[in-house]
Amino acid sequence: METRAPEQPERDAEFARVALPLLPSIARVAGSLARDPSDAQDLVQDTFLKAYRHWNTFVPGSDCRRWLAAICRNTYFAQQARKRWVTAVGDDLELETFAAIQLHKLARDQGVEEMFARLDLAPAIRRAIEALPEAFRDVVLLVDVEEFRYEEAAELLGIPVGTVRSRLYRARRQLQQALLEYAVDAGFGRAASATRTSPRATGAHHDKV
Amino acid sequence: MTKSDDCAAIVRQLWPFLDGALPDAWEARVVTHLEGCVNCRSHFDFEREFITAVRSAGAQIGVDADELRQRVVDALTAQGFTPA
Repeated sequence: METRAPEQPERDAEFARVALPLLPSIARVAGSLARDPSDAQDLVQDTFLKAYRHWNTFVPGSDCRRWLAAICRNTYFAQQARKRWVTAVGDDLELETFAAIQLHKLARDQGVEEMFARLDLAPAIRRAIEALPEAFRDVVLLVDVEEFRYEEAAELLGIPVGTVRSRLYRARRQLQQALLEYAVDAGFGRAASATRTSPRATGAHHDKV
Repeated sequence: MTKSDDCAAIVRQLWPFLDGALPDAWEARVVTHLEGCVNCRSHFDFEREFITAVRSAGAQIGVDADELRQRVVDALTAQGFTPA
């Protein structure tokens, strides 16, 4: 029969205070690992059960979110032992740079360059994130929302750092394009008629680049 | 290296810069360039505001935390955990 350590009430209180509030964050990590929502919820539960069992190994004052995320990741890969879908993404820096410049120019030309600071785009951003391909959405959720470093996101997803960077780049660019179209369609800016103009079909932004 | 070459190189590093993912030497290079280049500064502001908006909006995505939290607490309780 399992005996309760004398300090258990304090231990449980600490777990409730430090670990449990991080559940939404770990749920997003789990969602980026397990595709099926039900599997993701199971993964969250397993993560917290393991964390509770091994709470004595958590170093007080250290980053509990990262500790839980590591448990979540290890649990997932131990359970699944399967290769995740990996999109082959090439690294074409020149094209990426060109796209970045063109999109900024388009936003400037459309008069929505300051849309992120001036408009409440939160609902549109959430819709755009949810519409991203899964592999792209994962890195946005881990890096932009959960603010994991590239290396940590790579470790969590089991992919190279360069792939995290590439996917993040493309995901953000897709988000920007979607939000720019949303802003112009919604009547912000000055050239709604050009909403659907592809950034690649326009002229250069840094005129000399 | 021409100025436009440098602008392209800097634009390529704006997101890693904003993400704190650049080596120190590159960070310094980006900072110095932004101080002297109006175009890149404007682009930097655009990207920074974008990332800030995404971070703020994204935190509310897709987690029914209350229901899941109760499920986890129930599972923990079955393992001897005493909720506060």
